[in-house]
Amino acid sequence: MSAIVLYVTFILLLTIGIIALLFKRNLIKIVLAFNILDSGINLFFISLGYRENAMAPIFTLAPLDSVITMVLPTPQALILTNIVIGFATTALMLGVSVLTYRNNNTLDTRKLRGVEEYD
Amino acid sequence: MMYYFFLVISIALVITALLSIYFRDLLAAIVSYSVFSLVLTVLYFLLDAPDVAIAEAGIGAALTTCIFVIAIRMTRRREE
Amino acid sequence: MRLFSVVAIVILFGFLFVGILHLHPVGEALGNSEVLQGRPEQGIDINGVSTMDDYFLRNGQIETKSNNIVASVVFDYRGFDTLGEATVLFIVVSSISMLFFTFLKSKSIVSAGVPPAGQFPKIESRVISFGSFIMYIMILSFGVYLVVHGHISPGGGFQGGSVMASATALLLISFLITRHMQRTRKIFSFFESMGLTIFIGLGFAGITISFLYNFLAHTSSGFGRIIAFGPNQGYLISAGILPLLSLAVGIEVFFGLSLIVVTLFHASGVKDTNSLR
Repeated sequence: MSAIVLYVTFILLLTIGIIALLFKRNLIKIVLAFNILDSGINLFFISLGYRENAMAPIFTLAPLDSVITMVLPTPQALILTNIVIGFATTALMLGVSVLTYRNNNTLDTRKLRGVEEYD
Repeated sequence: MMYYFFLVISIALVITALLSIYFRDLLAAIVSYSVFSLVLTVLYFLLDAPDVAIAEAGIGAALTTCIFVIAIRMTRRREE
Repeated sequence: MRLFSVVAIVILFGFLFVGILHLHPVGEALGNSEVLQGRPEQGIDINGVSTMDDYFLRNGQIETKSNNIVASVVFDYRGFDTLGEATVLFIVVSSISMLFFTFLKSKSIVSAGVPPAGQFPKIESRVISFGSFIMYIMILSFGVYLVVHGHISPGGGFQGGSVMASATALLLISFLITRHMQRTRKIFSFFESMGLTIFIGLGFAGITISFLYNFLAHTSSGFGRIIAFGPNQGYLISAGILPLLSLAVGIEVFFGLSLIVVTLFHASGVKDTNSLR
């Protein structure tokens, strides 16, 4: 019960990522915020499949007890592929940002849209 | 016992995430994100997920930092 | 406008906080564990939370002959999903090469050590190059170990491939290689396609039963070696087609991620492209 701090961390990371996505203007900073949001969701999935006093789902050289408790393997398998895909999409977003800079000589989203300051 | 580890690591995670958003110097922000990934790797290891920990250490801490640095080098370093 | 955003964020925060109060506590059991009685004939019981995950934990070692249940979920039970992920990676690498097409065709390559914006100075140090070469060999060996032993210890195609790709990034950054970039990218893209092709070919090898059927796990010799249920020491030649699929994915991930880094690094050395303006 006391380990609810992991869920709270997930909420904080998600909120940090969304706030930065909304309020930051630099394109590279936006990609960084997207990465933080992605990491928060990964952490949420792993902490959903966690069991206290359990062991990793690997039988090699496991202790020979009569009762074995293991953490859930499916969230780990999903997040494992998601990390690689997240890196690939990050690289794609950075490529588009670099081409935007080469064409417009700025990374500011408001300058790119051609609007003045508004609040 | 495990609770204190989780608490300390969670505080470190939130602080490094806030720092990587806060810095105006993009290189500092990306180094801060690298530290964030490294701390997250330790957390995955404590959560009994060694497979995910290895993937996060290889990709989050090494490769993501590398391509971000290359992207900054192709654009500009300061966030205006 | 800004006020509206703040209100929306506060509402989202509230919803999330109410949501986690209704989830099960971290690290505690949920579900009906009396349905899942384990395998009492082997004298081993696995306590249960989720029906699907406990099915994997209880039968994964029997059905796929693999000690690492995560690897058996990734490559056997959800093998079609993994094929989709590998295809996504392939498409992303192709589109990055397509984005920087005009950059890479350009002849005006400056040295990678001389930055276009004048921000990162070139470092020429014998200590850095020698140390990073030793580190390169060690990281590459560790990645190969992870790929090969994916079914008996933590590791597998995705992890080993990403570790090896980080070795490539280390080599690029420390040596600032600029020559033979075109040839390198051609070789890398060839091997990346080969990895995906091997994966699909292994999937079609068991097509008489179904796509991605683990046909080697039922031969009771060689790769289908019968292993005892429960903790054991693990065998390198076991687990059916899981090591072969892991090897294919490892090749694909290594060359794909390396190709991303090499392409971006190559494009960052191009001084100017007037074809894009």
